[in-house]
Amino acid sequence: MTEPLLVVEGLEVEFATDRGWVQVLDGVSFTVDRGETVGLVGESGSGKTVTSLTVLGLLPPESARITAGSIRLDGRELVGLPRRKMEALRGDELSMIFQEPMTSLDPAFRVGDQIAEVVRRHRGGSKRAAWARAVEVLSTVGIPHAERRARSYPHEFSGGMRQRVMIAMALSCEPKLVIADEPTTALDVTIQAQVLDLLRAMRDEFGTAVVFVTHDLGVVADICDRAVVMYAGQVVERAGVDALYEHPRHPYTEALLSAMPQLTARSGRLATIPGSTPPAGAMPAGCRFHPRCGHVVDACRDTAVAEHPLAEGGTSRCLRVSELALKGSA
Amino acid sequence: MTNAVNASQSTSGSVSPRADPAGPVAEVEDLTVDFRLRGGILGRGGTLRAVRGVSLEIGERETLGLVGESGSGKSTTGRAMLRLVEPTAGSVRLDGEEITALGRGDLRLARRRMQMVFQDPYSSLDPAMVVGESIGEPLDVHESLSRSERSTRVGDLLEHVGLSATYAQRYPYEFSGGQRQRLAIARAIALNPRLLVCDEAVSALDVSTQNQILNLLEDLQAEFGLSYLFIAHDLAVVRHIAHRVAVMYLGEIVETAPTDRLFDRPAHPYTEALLSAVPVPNPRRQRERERIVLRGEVPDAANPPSGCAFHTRCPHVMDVCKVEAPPVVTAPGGGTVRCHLHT
Ligand SMILES: Nc1ncnc2c1ncn2[C@@H]1O[C@H](COP(=O)(O)OP(=O)(O)OP(=O)(O)O)[C@@H](O)[C@H]1O
Ligand SMILES: Nc1ncnc2c1ncn2[C@@H]1O[C@H](COP(=O)(O)OP(=O)(O)OP(=O)(O)O)[C@@H](O)[C@H]1O
Ligand code: SF4
Ligand SMILES: [Mg+2]
Ligand SMILES: [Mg+2]
Repeated sequence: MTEPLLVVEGLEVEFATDRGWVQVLDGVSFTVDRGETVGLVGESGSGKTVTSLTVLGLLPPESARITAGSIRLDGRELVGLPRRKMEALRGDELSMIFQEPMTSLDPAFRVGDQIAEVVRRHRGGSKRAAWARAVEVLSTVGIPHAERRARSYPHEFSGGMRQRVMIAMALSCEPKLVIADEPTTALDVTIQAQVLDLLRAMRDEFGTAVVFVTHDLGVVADICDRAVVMYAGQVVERAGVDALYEHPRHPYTEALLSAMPQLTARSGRLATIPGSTPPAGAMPAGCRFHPRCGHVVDACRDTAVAEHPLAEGGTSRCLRVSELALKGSA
Repeated sequence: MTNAVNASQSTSGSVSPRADPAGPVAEVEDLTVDFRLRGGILGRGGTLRAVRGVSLEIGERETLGLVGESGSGKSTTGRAMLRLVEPTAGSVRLDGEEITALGRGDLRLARRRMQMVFQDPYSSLDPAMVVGESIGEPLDVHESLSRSERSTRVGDLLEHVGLSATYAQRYPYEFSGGQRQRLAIARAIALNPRLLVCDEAVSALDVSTQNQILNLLEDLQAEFGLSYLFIAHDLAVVRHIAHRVAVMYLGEIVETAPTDRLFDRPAHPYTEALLSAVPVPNPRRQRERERIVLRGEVPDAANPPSGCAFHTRCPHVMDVCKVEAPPVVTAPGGGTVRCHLHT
């Protein structure tokens, strides 16, 4: 089989609102290879979390629906998979790490028991074996005295350690794919760096693939092989990270890169992208970015723009992609 | 427009006492905050000293950045200054007035002069109320305004944070994350505070939205003379917005400095490691970057190491560090540092 590990194709998702069903994802497509780390970046509200939840089969069933598209994991179609089968996949082949470990860990149970519970649910086996596995993964993620610390409760760990406990739980069944939504946003940069090192080690050891959702373009530069840039419910650019940062091919990516505050010197007034994100259900005609784009021409205002495949690999959803020379980050 | 924010000073309540008009807006001295733990590793209770003798000052129109290890006590420091958690010991003065000694009623009055903006804009607005109600709430608590005065004030506040006055009638779910953060700021400045504590106020936002909020904070500071305690993990943001920076590690401030000095010539080994761990937003340069890797575990805050609290992980550790706590000394180039390399 030559298909990538994860193939998301033409995904469309709608949410129920007071104004009826409103589309929040429009034709989202991307792939993730085995052992690859793909960054999912973009404007607040652009659909990164909804994309992650859709792949994980965690959309709220009463208020959300997939209206088109396909999600294949290792060749298996996930859209339309019965709930129970999806549950079995999660934790086994597919797992997740969220931003706030305190909300995903149960404060009333020892962390070792919580990991062991996941192991038993997916792998069966004895309580003793599951506990041993829990201790093993805790020590893999660098928790010292794992045997003893497995008996601790979540509040007895620091934020960074809790995040590692979450990672241990996510990795306990050696999943093929981990979806991590802002896993380091609440951590200081030294602990963030440790967590990223850990994810790299997991990739090298188990070939784990990761979808990494983040606002932090420094983190993407550090850990991702490729990036998917989202704007207003659509993928606007896909590229390898070197190309993306040095030669962005979509004006939104360019604007994002140029707005980054610099660590090395204080800037004057910080750059912003004029205007604001269009609300779901009221997307502008033509290119969705056109009201805010510095390179807009008349054609952008009325022609809906498709994703253009690029010669160097990747795609851009910009009408002017072949004529624009956009600025990257130095 | 100005009266939207200034009126609160003249309407009700006592005018804030200011011992020294040129003195700092906020002065924190030897602040200590303990938490009682229920059941430790072995089922024993205990005390966790989250903030250990923190002293800092924030001047008028000054932004003090507060950075450091996750769990080092940054939020607790900010919350204790507003007495959202009770300080165990130490002093907090706002415009010269001792906050820690205030009774309930006086504390309520003092709170109008200090406000907090949190990371999660969702938590600071009541989802069941139109946002005009949430923003006007502090006005109701502290001032008696007629309906029309109140709605004018709310409208002015909304316009001040870059939103239309007509948004007052909408519910929180109709706003994006960035807009909600603007609403939280509008609510926080409703009573013309002297000091805003911003705790990871922009960290959930994308870069462009984050920058809009930072620009807004700078505008409000210039216009109303606000002072900020700006708590953040994003060091590039701190470099941009802060005039001075304090670095915390395990409940203590280990370094303070004018912003440029801190970033260009860090004096404390922890600060140095922190700066080296910031990923550069360029993959090629990031791959070439050398990071100072901190060995060892983050120590348990309930059981801090002897001597210098950082000695278990410090790349420059010496014998003296293990036994003797370093004093706070003046750092080369300005500010202070707590490290034996400088004593
Ligand atoms: N339960 C829901 N009901 C209605 N709309 C929703 C729901 N969840 C998300 N949305 C909408 O879907 C869109 C995408 O939201 P999503 O949370 O995926 O954004 P995001 O890219 O993760 O943003 P952020 O960076 O702020 O986390 C937004 O317009 C949001 O308002
Ligand atoms: N209500 C509480 N009860 C017990 N311990 C607490 C409580 N609040 C905070 N702590 C502990 O106090 C210490 C300082 O926490 P604080 O939230 O102030 O850190 P922080 O520097 O803001 O960290 P972060 O960067 O992760 O937000 C931590 O060890 C934390 O676990
Ligand atoms: S299509 Fe036009 S408006 Fe859209 S990004 Fe390209 S240049 Fe800008
Ligand atoms: Mg999200
Ligand atoms: Mg905090």
